[in-house]
Amino acid sequence: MSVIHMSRITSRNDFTYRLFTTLALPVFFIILSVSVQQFSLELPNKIQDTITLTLGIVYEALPFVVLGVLLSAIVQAYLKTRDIEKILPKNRFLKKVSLASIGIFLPVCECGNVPLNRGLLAKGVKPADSLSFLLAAPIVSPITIITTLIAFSDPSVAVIRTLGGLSIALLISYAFSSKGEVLLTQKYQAFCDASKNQKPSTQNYKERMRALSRNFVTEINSLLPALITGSFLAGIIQTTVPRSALLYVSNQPIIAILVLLVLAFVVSICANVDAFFALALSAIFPMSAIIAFLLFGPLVDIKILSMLSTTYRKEVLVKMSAIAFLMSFIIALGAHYVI
Amino acid sequence: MLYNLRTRIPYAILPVVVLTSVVLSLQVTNRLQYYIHPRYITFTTIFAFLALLMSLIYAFVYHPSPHKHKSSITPAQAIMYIVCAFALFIPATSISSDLAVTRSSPSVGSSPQASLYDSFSTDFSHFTIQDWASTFASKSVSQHLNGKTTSITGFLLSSEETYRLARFQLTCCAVDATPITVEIRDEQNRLQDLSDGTWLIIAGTSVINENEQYIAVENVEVVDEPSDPYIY
Repeated sequence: MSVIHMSRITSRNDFTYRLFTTLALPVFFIILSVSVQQFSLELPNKIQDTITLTLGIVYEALPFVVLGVLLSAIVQAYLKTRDIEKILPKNRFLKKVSLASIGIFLPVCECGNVPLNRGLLAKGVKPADSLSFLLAAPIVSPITIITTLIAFSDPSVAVIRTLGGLSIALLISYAFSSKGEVLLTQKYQAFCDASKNQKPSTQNYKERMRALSRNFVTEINSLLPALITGSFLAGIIQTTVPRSALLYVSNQPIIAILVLLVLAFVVSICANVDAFFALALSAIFPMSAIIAFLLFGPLVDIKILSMLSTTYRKEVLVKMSAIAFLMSFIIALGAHYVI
Repeated sequence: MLYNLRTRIPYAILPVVVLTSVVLSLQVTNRLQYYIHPRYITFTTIFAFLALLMSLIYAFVYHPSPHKHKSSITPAQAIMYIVCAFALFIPATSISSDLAVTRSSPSVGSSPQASLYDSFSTDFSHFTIQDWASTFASKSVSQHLNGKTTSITGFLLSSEETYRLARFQLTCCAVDATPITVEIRDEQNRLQDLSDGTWLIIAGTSVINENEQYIAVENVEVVDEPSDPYIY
């Protein structure tokens, strides 16, 4: 046989081997999982519930994270550094408002915004400005606004939520805008610096898919541990701290607001549907406390903080959470005396 | 040209492949609804498939590095592997009645109540536990719904001398599940031998007056947990 003929056979064998070994993996796991579902396992209720709640949060968040990572991978693969900065207004306030408004076009919850935010940072958006997108996007999302309007017939709830959330996001963005303040983790800062020197892929389709898949796997591996850890913590708290314990303090406005701020942090529910969850609580809690829940939940919760720890320094997350908590409390208390 | 299978597959894709494979298998076995609201199932399945596809593309073109990098596992990664193992090796189940006790609150349903026209009927077997909970919780409970026959399915919750039939209502996923409950009373005390969490079909009659609202039990049937245990 000729050398060329041998190399063609080798190449075909290599392709077949690669295809087989690649596809064997998910087929094996799917068959294993389907088989496991045919059995039942008696675990103590608390342990079983913790696992169910944890996986519930993970499965619910996973498609949004994947969507965000795909968008982020596309941004990183196809946009040049500073492309985004060029189209944004030069005025500082307008730049922040423009970034915050991107959420209007993105029907993803806060989980999906985290990877996209990372993509924007990698392409030159300033960390302080990126916070206005990250925090405002879940609240100004059209789905969030619509579900809030459906759940609460009084439009003032949706208005206070949208404008209040936008204001808090801009305030936090300004709070971190002082020059010299380091917001990103060392690891992510190094990644952003390296990305700035990369040119977008201009190669053929094969090379672009290779780059896209590599970006996707890298990004999702950065976020998945944080998402799952946050979900696990939320699951444990939900099974160990009885929610009914919080309900006995619902008749005092200030305490009710504080209680629902804590609940919003712990329950880690997506902004797209948290209005319906809050509606169920509205029979027990005053509307001011409900507004606090609707404001704070999309900004900060256990799951999101865990995911953001891959990008921002801990001091930044603590300061950001404190400002969000305080401002949500103030707006809710103000609403108590106005509504 | 023998490849070592261990070096052929990049370990980086394993958590994503495990989770997405489990999601697809739960969709096939109709158990994804134990975790998330049905409205998200198609969306979740599509993106699980896309994530799996991207990971497999990466694995297909992967070439192991000649330099082996030893990296330690972080605590978050360890938790991730443990949770992936839970997802793979522990069968899917719905949340237990224990959580209903810790999450108990005045039941508030969001379903529409019976119209005045409907109330001329005596057969309210179409009314679900959610409908009765909403009716009982309403400030303007109409007594023309008194004495209606009904049949509701739920799991038993007991506290001191009160029995309630309950189901979890899901808004988004299992973490926000809220118990919707209806008080049931059985003069024949058939419920005292049943443990909390037992699934029942209760046939009975509604009792609504100024002071109390409950379902007077006429027949109790113990059943298996339904394939769709939540209400939405």
